[in-house]
Amino acid sequence: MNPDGGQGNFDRERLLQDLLDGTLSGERREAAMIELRADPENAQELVKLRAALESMRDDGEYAPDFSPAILAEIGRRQGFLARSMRGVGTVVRVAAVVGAIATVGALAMIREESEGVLAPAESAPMTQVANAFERELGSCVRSFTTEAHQIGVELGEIPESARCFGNRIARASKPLAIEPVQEGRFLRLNMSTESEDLVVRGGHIAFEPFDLRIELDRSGSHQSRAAVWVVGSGSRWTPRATYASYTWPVVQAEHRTERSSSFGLGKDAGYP
Amino acid sequence: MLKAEEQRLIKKAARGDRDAAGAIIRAHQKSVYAYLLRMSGRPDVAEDVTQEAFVRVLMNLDRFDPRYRFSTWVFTIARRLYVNACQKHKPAFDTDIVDGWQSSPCRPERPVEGDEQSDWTRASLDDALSQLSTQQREILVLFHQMDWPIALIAKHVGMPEGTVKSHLHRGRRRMREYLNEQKMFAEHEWEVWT
Repeated sequence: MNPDGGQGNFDRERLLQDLLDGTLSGERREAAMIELRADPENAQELVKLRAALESMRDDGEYAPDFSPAILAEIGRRQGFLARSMRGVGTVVRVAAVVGAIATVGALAMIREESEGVLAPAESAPMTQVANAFERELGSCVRSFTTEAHQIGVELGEIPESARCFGNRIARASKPLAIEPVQEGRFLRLNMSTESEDLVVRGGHIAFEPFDLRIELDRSGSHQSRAAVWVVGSGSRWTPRATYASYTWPVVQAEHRTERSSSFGLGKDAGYP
Repeated sequence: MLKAEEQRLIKKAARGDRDAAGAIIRAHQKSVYAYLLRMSGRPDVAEDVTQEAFVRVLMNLDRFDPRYRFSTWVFTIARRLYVNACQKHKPAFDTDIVDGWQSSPCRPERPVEGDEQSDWTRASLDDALSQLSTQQREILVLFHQMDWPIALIAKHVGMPEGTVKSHLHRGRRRMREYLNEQKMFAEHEWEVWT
């Protein structure tokens, strides 16, 4: 810049920046040009800078066509995701085992505090109990997961404005990712999709056994009964699911048609 | 592309229409690639990030809020991927970028070569930009190459507008000093920018 003193340089610098910012009006811009042209050395520098900045725009003129590669990659990933969805069952089974172990572990605590829970007889090994819960809870979780995913898919077909669940607009999405998390005696499935919600905010469900009963008689007829709160996003979903027994293997999941986050789980096993 | 046409393509692409997805890519890939090329100085990085950005964009079209500019959303995703890539590969990545930028060994092959003057200008510009900090470079690119207004840049980079202006001014000053030292761009006519 022209070495003629501090204030002069400062003013010219400011003038130049304003000019390049494009914030000067026509009249002020003209005055700035005259001012900056007054010093040939100064003007020469500005020409260089302006030419450099102008040349930046040229780089947008050419780019390879990425579209074939991008579309191919999307196709590959979607195929992978479709296969991943088929693997969800495996994940859920693992989750169910974790949940069953947690649940059975909680049994020890519950039975000390509740007269309503009967201790298993000595003829029932713990592994059998765990296996029973693995089946029951696993089945329950699988059914619920399928339903939840189905609802997510269905939501995709509903206009966004109509997707109101739990007073929230839920963005339906796919694919569905499930992360089983053991939280104390709860099995929690953090469900996530590419969008922020699945069905309800937070996209998680938790199976919270609030009562658990295992009855084993000496004849070998074993029954387990559990009442489970299905909790989603911190708010309880309405139905209290009761499922039971590894002698009653049918566990059904159904979601009611009204959009109220209302799910019924399980075949009523006669639990009061 | 008109916004209505863009919205129509987005809806079709969200439903799996490959032609619509291709049209969206072709409408935005040049600017995204140019931005990333300027930021990284490396065609291979720019290509990788551009492709990944569009893959993410097209697989998440249902998340796009049509109240906002689609191009801004694309750039935001591209920028995030680029920043993540830089962090993931630090420090080697940065070194590579600087090396690649300084020596410019692998500029993209252009179908039509420019004249000598423009090649010279471009090389000098690359050198000048390499003198800037990452923030200065990005803001300069968005302002002068992409013609983004200050307010939009501020939102994109997560800085107050005043800070963006400061980076812009410092970056231009640094560029000017560098170009002056290099004695380049000497033959341009004053009228070029009047």
